[in-house]
Amino acid sequence: MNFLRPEIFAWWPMAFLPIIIHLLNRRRYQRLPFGAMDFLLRAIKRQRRRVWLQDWLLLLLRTLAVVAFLIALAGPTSKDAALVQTRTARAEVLVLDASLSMQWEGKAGIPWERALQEAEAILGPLKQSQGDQAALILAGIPAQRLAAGDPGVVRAALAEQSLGQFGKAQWPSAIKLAEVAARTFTQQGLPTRVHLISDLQASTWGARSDLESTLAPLQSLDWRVVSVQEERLPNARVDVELSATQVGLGDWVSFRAKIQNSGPARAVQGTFIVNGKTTRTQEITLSQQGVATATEDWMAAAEGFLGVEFRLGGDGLVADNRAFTVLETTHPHQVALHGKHLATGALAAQSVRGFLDLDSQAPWEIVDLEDASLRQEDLQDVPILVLIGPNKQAVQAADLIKNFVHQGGKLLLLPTTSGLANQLLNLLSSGHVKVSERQYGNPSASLVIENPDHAALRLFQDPQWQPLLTEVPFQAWLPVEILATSPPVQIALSLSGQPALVEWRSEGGTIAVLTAFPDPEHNSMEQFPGGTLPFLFDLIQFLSKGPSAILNRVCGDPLEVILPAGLMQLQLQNPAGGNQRLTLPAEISNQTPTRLLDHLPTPGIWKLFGYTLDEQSREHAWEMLFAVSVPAEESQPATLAVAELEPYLPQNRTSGDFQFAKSPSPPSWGLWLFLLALTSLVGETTLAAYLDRRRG
Amino acid sequence: MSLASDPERLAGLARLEIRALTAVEGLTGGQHHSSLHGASTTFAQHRAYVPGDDLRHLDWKLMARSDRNIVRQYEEETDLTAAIVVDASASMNYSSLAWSKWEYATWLAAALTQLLWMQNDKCALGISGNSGLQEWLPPRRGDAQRQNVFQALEQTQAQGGDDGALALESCLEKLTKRGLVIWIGDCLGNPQTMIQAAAKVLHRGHDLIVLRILDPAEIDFPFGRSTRFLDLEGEDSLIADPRAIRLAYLEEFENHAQELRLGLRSLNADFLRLSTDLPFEVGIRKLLSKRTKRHRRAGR
Repeated sequence: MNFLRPEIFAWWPMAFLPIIIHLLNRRRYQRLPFGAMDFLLRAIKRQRRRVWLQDWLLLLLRTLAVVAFLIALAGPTSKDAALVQTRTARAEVLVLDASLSMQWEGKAGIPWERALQEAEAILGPLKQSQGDQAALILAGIPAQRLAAGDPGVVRAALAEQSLGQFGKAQWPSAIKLAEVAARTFTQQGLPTRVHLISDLQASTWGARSDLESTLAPLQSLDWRVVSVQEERLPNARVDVELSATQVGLGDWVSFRAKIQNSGPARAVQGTFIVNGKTTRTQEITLSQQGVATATEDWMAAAEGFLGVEFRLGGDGLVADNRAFTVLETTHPHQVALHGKHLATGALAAQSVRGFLDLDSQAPWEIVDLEDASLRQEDLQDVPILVLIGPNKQAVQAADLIKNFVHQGGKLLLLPTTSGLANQLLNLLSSGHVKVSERQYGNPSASLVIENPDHAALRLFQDPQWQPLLTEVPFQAWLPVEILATSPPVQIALSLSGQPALVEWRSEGGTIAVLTAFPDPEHNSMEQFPGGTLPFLFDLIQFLSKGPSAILNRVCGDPLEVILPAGLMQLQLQNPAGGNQRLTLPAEISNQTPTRLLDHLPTPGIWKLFGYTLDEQSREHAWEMLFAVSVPAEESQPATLAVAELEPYLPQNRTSGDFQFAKSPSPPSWGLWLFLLALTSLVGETTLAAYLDRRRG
Repeated sequence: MSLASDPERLAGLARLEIRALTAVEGLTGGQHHSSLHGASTTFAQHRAYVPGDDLRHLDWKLMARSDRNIVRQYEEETDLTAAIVVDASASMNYSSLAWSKWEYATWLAAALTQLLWMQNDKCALGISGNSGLQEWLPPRRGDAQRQNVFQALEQTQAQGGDDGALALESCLEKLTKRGLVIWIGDCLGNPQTMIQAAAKVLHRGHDLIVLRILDPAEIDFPFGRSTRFLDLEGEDSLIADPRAIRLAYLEEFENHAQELRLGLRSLNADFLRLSTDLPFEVGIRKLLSKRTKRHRRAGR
């Protein structure tokens, strides 16, 4: 004999319950002083045997009822266990939307909780003992399959889920995972169905034109959409930005928070928080569907990073009520300029000086070396050396410059003549880079961005600023030729198909050559404002500090950071203060970013910290802060209508109902045992009633 | 209707004397003949009417003048000697109500004493203990005797075993003159012993009234859950499921009661069973009425 639900036998001790209750009742008695003891004694003597028989008969009937009931529940059958299913086995694949909008509070709770309830309801009837299968896929960042196979395991995985994820759900990836799971189940001969449980936030699902391609993997499968969409409470989204991300000590900076309201007009409270301390709370009036701003001025009083947060009083979607950014306060660093009186580069040098020498406004301090001979002490504590020309003194000091670069210094060469420039480059780089003779182009020649991710070109990633760099024509320039691929040379800009800005690593430092130099002799800056001059600003910043220490990211982005050379240990601190030690890659490049995390999960201020060792094995603390924000799309109130998805649903069905095949025939043993249990109970009740009547 | 001898009302009263007076108030309000009288033609005195007095003895002329119920009393009538013997065994302490059988018995004894005093009859009190009579107040009449009886009843604690037959026999030895013996007890002992003792009492020419006091729980045996019964008169105890043995108990109880009742009636003794949840006024009136009829039949 087999049993459909052998786990019921874990309740076997229940069969002893009537006996235990009987024995306990015998032990639990009241004490009663009584006078007519002789009658009692005689009555007991007369009734003893009869009472004993009645009690044990009752006990027997009760025990029999419990045992029969347990066996009936266990589903006894004479068939083979594999053939005893009461219905056809089936599989369910659940895809759960884990995007931020699932936290959007509605009038009847939050969609995430409803989604969990729906998922539990779908998984509830599945039983491994009947051959059912299930899979749970989280459409979050990243899309991942949490569990598959045994429905019990899937249920357990579901019970562990809490909405701690932020950012867009990756529906295309999640649907592909669902397809793989569904096809696996189908190949096992199981009727399979995919359930997409979502609040149908439009931004999460992407453009409507992409719906077809997103849902394409499900085309030949049976699937449905379970909408947990509901009427939402009004929401406002917050972004915060700074008038400058890097300032010097004592400088003022403005924090500006932008509040985009997608609900009705109302008053809210906004608070600026700097390094965890509230600076000011202000009341902000939001107009319907309008934008409001809040500002706060701040003086940088201490060197280092500041985490800046703006927090809005709670509304529908709490998660996007906080925006973060990071401010860095530094000592102005020094930039050494050399090449003032070079005859051919005089105008160029004057132009560069005029642009970079911004007095107290600049984030650096110019050390003007003019065109004198370079000395060791001139380059002490100077992170960047800008050579204009170069002149003979610079070429004569090639060893000094090479040593400066090898010790981590950054060299920016702005060549005005090819001869001396090539002499110097030969000495510095073994001749794998060469500056060609001056070329004169047509007036329409302009710069082309080859590497838009280059930190120095960040400004020009904004379409409104890009013309400043790329649409300024150049009349004359000195092209760069790359003669060897080692060491690798990064090309950031090109001009008329030839490299215009190149850089490469040289031991501990970096050498950059900008050939499309803003030489007023040939490229009139007055006539064509912009050009490479605004770019120079960022380039020097980039070179002097390496890549920008300020990172602003959104949830779901990878964490990629250019790490300093000599980094010995690295830890990551999340916004809640928890530390996580990160494994450093075997080789750290201070040119290319190192990926530390695949996905940033939580908004807030994060911190990376560790220490570096210098050549004298001295430890230097290193840290950087970065801000992680909620993706803007998640705050958009638009949702998809279920009707928009209907065209893609399986053609034979428009509603969400789906009936699985009915069971062929129920096992007969169980029915008989239920009848036996019932009969025992009836017998017990009848006997008990008779005894009660008889005994009064 | 509120009966003066309602046990709940009596239990609320403090002193036994007050209880006796209250109970007798109820008795004296009736229109029944008293059986506690003799037969004579020598006028002795007038006294107030009490239930049970023969209406033929009412002094109509005096009643008309005084507007009170007055009976004429004759020499021999006042010569009645009544001995009240109360069972003070420990089984009398049983109670399923707020009062025990012992308390009920004392109220009843006190009420009868009050009646006897009102009729100016002699009253004796015997308290049955472990080995016969535990206390004996010889027959006397008057208020002092009445107070002594009340005091003795109040001071006695029910304890020890039950030997009512021996007490009755001891009582006989102390009674020099024929009279009325009233036995108040639960009569839970061997009925044959009790009947034999009653036979001796009657053989000596006394009248005998047996008032059997029982708790309603002893009569109905209404207990539900498993119970350890502790013997009030000894150390024994036994565990039983009361529902399982109830019928057998009731049968045993009824057999015992039947044997006792038939035995006493065959001796021409008066027998009355009183449950402690009922006013004893009703039962006593019934008993007195029955006795009056019997006396009439006997030509007394």
